[in-house]
Amino acid sequence: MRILNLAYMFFRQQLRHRVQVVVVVFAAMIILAAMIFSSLAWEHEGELVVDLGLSGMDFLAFMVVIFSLVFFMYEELEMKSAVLILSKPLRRHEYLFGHYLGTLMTVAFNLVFMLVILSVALAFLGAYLQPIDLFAFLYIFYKAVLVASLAFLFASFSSSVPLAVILTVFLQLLGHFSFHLHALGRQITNIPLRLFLDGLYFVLPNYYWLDVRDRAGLPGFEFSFGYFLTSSAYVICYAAIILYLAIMLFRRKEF
Amino acid sequence: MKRILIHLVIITALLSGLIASSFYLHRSPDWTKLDPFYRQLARQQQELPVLFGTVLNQRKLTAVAYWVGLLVYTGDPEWQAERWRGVMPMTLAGTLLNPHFIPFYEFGSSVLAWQLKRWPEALVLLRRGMEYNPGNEKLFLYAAAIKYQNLDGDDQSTIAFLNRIIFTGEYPALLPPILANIYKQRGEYQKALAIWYFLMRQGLGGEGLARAKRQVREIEALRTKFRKTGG
Repeated sequence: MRILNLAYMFFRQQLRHRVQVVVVVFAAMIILAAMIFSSLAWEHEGELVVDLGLSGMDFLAFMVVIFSLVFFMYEELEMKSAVLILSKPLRRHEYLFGHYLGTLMTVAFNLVFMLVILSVALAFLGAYLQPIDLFAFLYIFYKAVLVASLAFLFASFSSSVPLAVILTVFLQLLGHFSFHLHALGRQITNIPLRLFLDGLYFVLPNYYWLDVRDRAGLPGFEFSFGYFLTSSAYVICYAAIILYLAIMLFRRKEF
Repeated sequence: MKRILIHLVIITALLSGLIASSFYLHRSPDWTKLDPFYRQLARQQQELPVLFGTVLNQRKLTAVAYWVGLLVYTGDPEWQAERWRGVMPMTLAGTLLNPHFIPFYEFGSSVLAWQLKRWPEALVLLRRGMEYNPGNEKLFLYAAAIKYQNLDGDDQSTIAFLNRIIFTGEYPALLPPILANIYKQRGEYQKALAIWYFLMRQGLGGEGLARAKRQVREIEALRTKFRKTGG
């Protein structure tokens, strides 16, 4: 219960910091895209707006997580606001987990608003979202779950805001790239290098598996119930392990 | 001791779940063998934006950028001197990124076939479209129309063929303007106007309607000039 209260508190705090400005950016982008594409792609304007909208959501969800990370590190850790909260009968893992859940609530809140805006823009064009688009939307949230857990891991051991942000962005890029590195590795005869690339592929967060938005409908990709279950399990297990590590490190952190 | 054991059990369970799910996801079909992009990658060099879009998993977004780029490119008279030779590479890159985005095939093949008279390339493009979108019958109609014109070389039979497609049921969006343009080029202004009026009655909106009105004005002017010169 204490964790949920904390999560709600952090969620409200982030809304006070006007993080929902991303929704305004998204709305402007979608309205503009709908206006332009209605004259640029006869009969297929809805498809273009969906592609653009989901990509925009993906990027803005990442930006919300980065904002939350900066807020957490700067206001809570560097300005010592965390000390005030932690002086109360509250465990450190409850504090960190509450903050993590608050971040996810903020991401979900913004994503739902963006989805509503996208649906309205599509309705004006006479198009609508397909079931696979809704799954793609869910997987955007899944990616945010992983990114947020990594961001909190970096926040719990790094001493400066830029370092944590750089590490999060770096892993975001590498996580998208790891599948292609693995594909490249299969062409390489150097065994140690190949093993290294395979290791990266399995150890790094594999965002390629979660990019249903980009891969839906492309040749070779079939979205099945089994895929949904295992990828959900992957996200939950990965995020839980990273959060576990973050909590372990956060317990030792000195303020 | 008990606490350590609980932690160990939790971590083991999570790691097992992670490994099992990773292997399942890894074992799913080999995209690199099924996706045309990877096959093409092995055969030829790709442009930087294509690679960039792929490695960052932004293929569909990059395809949108290529689509807008293609429209800007084909509408720019600056490239007339080199006969818009970039149409085919740009269209191929776009279709590699998103092989299910139909306007690439429809628009690309129409420009290549009827505007630039590069029939074989238009057919290559449509063949790719039909391979990846076998359920889309409009692409087959485009291919048939191009093949008809290409084999026959005679406008009359192409006109008859296009008329049959357009006025009998589901027609691809770009075929009526193509037919209207053939009529316009042949000086059959009344028939060209009839097509544009027919399209306007179909409930064209936005840019489509503006284009139709522009064409009607142009053809009316040509018709008046034709009458004055006693043609």
